[in-house]
Amino acid sequence: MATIYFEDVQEGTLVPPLTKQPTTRQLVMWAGAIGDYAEIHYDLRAAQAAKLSDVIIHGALKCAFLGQLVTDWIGPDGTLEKLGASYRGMDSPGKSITCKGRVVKKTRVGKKNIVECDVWIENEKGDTTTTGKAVVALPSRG
Amino acid sequence: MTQQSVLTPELKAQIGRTGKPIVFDIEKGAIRKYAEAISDKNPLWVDEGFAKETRYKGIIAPPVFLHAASILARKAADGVFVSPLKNTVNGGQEFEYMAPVRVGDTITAVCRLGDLKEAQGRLGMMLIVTYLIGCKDQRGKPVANITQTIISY
Repeated sequence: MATIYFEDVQEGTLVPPLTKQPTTRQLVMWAGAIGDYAEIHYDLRAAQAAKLSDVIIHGALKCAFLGQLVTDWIGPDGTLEKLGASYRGMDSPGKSITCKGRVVKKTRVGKKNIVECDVWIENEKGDTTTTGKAVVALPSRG
Repeated sequence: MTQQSVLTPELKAQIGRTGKPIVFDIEKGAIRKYAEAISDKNPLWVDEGFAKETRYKGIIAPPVFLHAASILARKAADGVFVSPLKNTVNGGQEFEYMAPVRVGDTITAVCRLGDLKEAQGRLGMMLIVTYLIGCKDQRGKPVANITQTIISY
């Protein structure tokens, strides 16, 4: 991934989108990798007993996808300062979800070139299920 | 029909309490397993040769990797807040990063009960629990602050 510079982005610049197609197997891999074994993510009966219609994708996995959206974009020379997500709607495996982002503010904070972005996830129907914010520090061309 | 409040003064009195600190080692293999789980092929997480050439001089933890530490810190704070409601779901989270976390670092994390609110929603009466998890490295330097919102229903 190429370095992006503070001068290369403006308010309204779009982050290249990232599409994921999580499977239940991926949710099991996530459960093991992160240590979250809540059954609502891989056991349908447990999900239904918890008043959910299907197993759901771990919120934190969606946050991880949004993290990748941003780190893929900024490359190793950019620094992620903040990443946040709110899980407004549930997503279930077996469907495509798309991570998107847009620059909303550019500012200098001390010595850092700070770029604030809205980030979010849309489901196959185009509904936003997850909203979030990412703050990055980018290098300058000088 | 309005349901009965579950947010008692006894529960509210728990706000500000902290759990025991937990220790979380940053391991190369765990980062690799994490990267595979999220299907993220960024070499910064898995390719030692690539990572050494960056300003980090080695593999670093991906953005949400410390969620594992926050889970452990919350478990260690089990007695701080016990919900009267049966189910839980992740409502949201925020990571604030102060320094990169490297393979070989040892992170100490402490969970504090930040806030309790109640609301009625599609799932019935809900408690919205905010946990604050502070992460420091082996030198005592703060590396990340995590805000975790859990919805109990």
